[in-house]
Amino acid sequence: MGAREKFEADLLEDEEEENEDTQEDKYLTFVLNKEDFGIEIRYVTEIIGIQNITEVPDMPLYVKGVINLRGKVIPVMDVRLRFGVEERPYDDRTCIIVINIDEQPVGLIVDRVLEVLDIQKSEIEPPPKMRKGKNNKFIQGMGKVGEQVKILLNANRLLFDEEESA
Amino acid sequence: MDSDLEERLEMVKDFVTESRELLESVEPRIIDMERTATASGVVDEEILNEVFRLFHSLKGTAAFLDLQTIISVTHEAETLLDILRKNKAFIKPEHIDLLCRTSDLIRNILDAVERQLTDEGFEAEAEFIINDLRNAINPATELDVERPGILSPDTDNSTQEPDPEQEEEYKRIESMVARVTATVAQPEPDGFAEPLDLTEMVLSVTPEMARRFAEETQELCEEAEMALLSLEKTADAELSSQVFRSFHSIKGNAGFFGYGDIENLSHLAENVLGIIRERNQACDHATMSVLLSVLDAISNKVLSTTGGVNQAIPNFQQLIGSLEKITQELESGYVETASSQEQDLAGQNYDDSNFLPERQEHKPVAATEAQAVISAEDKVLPDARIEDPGIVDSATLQKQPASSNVQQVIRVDIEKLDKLLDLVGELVIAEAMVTNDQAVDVSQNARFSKAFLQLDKISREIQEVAMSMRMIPLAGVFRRMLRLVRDLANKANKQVELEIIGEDTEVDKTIIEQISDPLVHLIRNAVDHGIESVTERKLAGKSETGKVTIEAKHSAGEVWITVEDDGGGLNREKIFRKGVEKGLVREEDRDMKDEDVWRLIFEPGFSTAEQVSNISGRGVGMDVVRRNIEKLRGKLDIRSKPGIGTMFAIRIPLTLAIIEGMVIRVGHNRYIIPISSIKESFRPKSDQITCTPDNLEIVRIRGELLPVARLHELYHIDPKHKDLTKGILIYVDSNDNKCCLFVDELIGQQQIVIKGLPAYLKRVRGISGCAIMGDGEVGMIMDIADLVSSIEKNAS
Repeated sequence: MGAREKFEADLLEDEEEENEDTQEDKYLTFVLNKEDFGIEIRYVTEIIGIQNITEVPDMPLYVKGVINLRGKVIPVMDVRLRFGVEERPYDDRTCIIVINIDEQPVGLIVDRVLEVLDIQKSEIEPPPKMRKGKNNKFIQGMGKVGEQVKILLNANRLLFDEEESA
Repeated sequence: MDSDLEERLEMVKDFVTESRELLESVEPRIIDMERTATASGVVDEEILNEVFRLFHSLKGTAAFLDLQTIISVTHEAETLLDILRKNKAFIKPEHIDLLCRTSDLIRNILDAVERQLTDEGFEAEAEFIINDLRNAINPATELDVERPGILSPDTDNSTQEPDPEQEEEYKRIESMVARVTATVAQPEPDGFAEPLDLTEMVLSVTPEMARRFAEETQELCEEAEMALLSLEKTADAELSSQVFRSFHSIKGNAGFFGYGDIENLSHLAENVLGIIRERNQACDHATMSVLLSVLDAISNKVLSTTGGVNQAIPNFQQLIGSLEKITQELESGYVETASSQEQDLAGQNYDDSNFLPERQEHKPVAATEAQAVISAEDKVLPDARIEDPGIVDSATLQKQPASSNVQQVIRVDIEKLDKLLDLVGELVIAEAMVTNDQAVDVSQNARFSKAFLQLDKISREIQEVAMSMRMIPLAGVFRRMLRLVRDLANKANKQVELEIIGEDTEVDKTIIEQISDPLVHLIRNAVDHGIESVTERKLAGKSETGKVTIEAKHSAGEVWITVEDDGGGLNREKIFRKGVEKGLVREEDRDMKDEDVWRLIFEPGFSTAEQVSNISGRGVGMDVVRRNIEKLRGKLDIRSKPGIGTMFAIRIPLTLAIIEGMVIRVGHNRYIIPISSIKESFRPKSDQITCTPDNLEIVRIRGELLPVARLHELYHIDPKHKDLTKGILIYVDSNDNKCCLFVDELIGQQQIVIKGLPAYLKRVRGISGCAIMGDGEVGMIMDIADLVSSIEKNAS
């Protein structure tokens, strides 16, 4: 291996490490029904505005249908409906957060996207033990940011938990 | 260390692919062997030799990688074949079984090798087969033709320690491997050190083999050349090993085909490279020049062999001399200055080019080869061409007609092809977007519409070409059936012959993957149920040997694959009884069409076999056939006549990625119905419609009564029309699943690029996939057969 290639390989490695570093403890926060939520940034591939959704028959209510994302057909889920919260008409602040788990891209429809926040592990509390309803399983933890609390979501359960939410 | 491992990985990968190919070609030949043997009583020598050679090649490559289990098994198989060769009348079905089992075992070992890089863990199985092979060999060597009680695979479970003689043989092979890999300079060129009689082998070299030998050697030469050229600049152990390997393979091949001169040359070159590799040094200019000339000489010689001429290498002695000199110099640690060596060679090469025009008369040289020669000359003697361009020109000219020797096939990563296909799909979508855009009104401008037509034509052509690149001949799949038929016939105690027609027919790679299972099931059925026993056939006045034919052909955008047997035919009464029993049909349907009766056998769990045998009878097979063929959007027809036979005809569309579709609208949603599923569309009059007490609407169309399926009800959509007479009815029919779909309106027909549904959605009732429409939104592609059967299921 020539010196040049070696350097390049090193550089690439550094970059990868950096990427991993920078993704740690970072959450994309968004608003849903007046509450702030967060999702680990490593799952997020992009954020797009709301667009026309094609309905797919026989889907659970929260799966709104599919969209065309640059030639790729991806399913979109209304997170409000996933939580059993009443639907709200989409407006120009409605966003689709595209997340990718196990090579399966899925769009999440949220009221609006806020920002990317650093939330250290020490600032995250476990989900509340007291239960009320079925949505507790989607919560990964409660992140404290200053005076605010962000509900951090478990992306995997959000997508793949089969049980119908009420 | 890492690079060593990587290298080994790569070698193993090559080995596995190559060996699998070898196995694929060996099996049909083994079956052929038996066929010729039973037909004429004497096994065809050519086939026998070919099988022998295939096993031998397997052994050779396995030896290089030190895969002991494969070596020992193939060796035993070889010994058996060798005996059969000497004593041709001796061949028995057991032998064929053994050879088939051997090839099965090797295939299993290969799978393991691919996973874990060694062939360990198969010793017991190997020993078992080796034992059987030896049992077959021993009586054979004693020429005990009667040979009572040869151990059949099922009864013999004893394992035997390898006898001392065999141990010795292993040691010999081992030492050979050691010699091969240690790269010690050997005093005499000893080729592949094989126990077989080379002269006998050479006699049976077919033109086909010679051609393959030439091709392979050429490829090796080119590889070696590439590696050598980079080796000139830097020392690289991997590169020198690569060149070494190339020379080694050339040597092996040449030895096998009895080309002593090539063998000698490559052996000496191997020595030189062995030293270079050991010392991990760069290849100096002089050495390089010599090695390149050696490569040229080899590839020229090899080309001459394809013409059936065994011509001497013109500057053979000179090359040998130079190689020996270099070896000596390298060994003594002294490297002669480049200049004197170069001069030496320059003269020689110049002579060589003077030879060229004359040689061409006998020697067709490929155009690329010509370039290789020129470039080699270029390096050695840059001004040779300038001094006398005529020589090269005339040489090149004479080389032209022989371009058939040029490698006409290139290997392309399947991922690249898929990517290309994806892009073509995007192109088609983009084209539709442009042509359907409201901003352009094609009808208003003749020039514009002409340009659109042109664009459409070109993109269709690109599509066709891109699709054709994924096409592979069915031969591989078909030939595997030879073995299957043989095994099945033996088990069922029947005599069955398989005829293959149109194995060159090319189909998409996906079809190849999907068609294998259905074919296996159809052939199982044909042999097990179709073909009668020998006595039955005799009674019916048929030939004792039954015949199964598989045929493939292209027809109007479809590929047709038929499996036909000349057996007893399907038993209509039996199938119908069973159908009634299962509640699939009613007694009153007695007069239903034959085709409809036959169709019953595709129902899951349907079997008329009284007894479940280990070949068939569980009623799963035909269901698999139907499913796989539906996956390929294919159709299946059955024809059967009692006493004459049965034919299954599979029709599969050639392209799987793009269909003609009718876009329809219900409410806000658009759906695409494949044109092939649509019979007609119409707006019904109210007197055509009858309503059952269950509120099922039946529409009468030219004497046929069809149920109406309201798409908006099925998919819970808010439609524009609920009145049947306001919307449109589409008469759909897919694999005899018929109904009339009620939709709001037809939008139009267009080419649709099929995309799979996102995996996240899993299966959707009545939907086979989706497509991006002209406006960039997504449309759902309907699967009519699935939709209709789901409605029927719901009703019952």
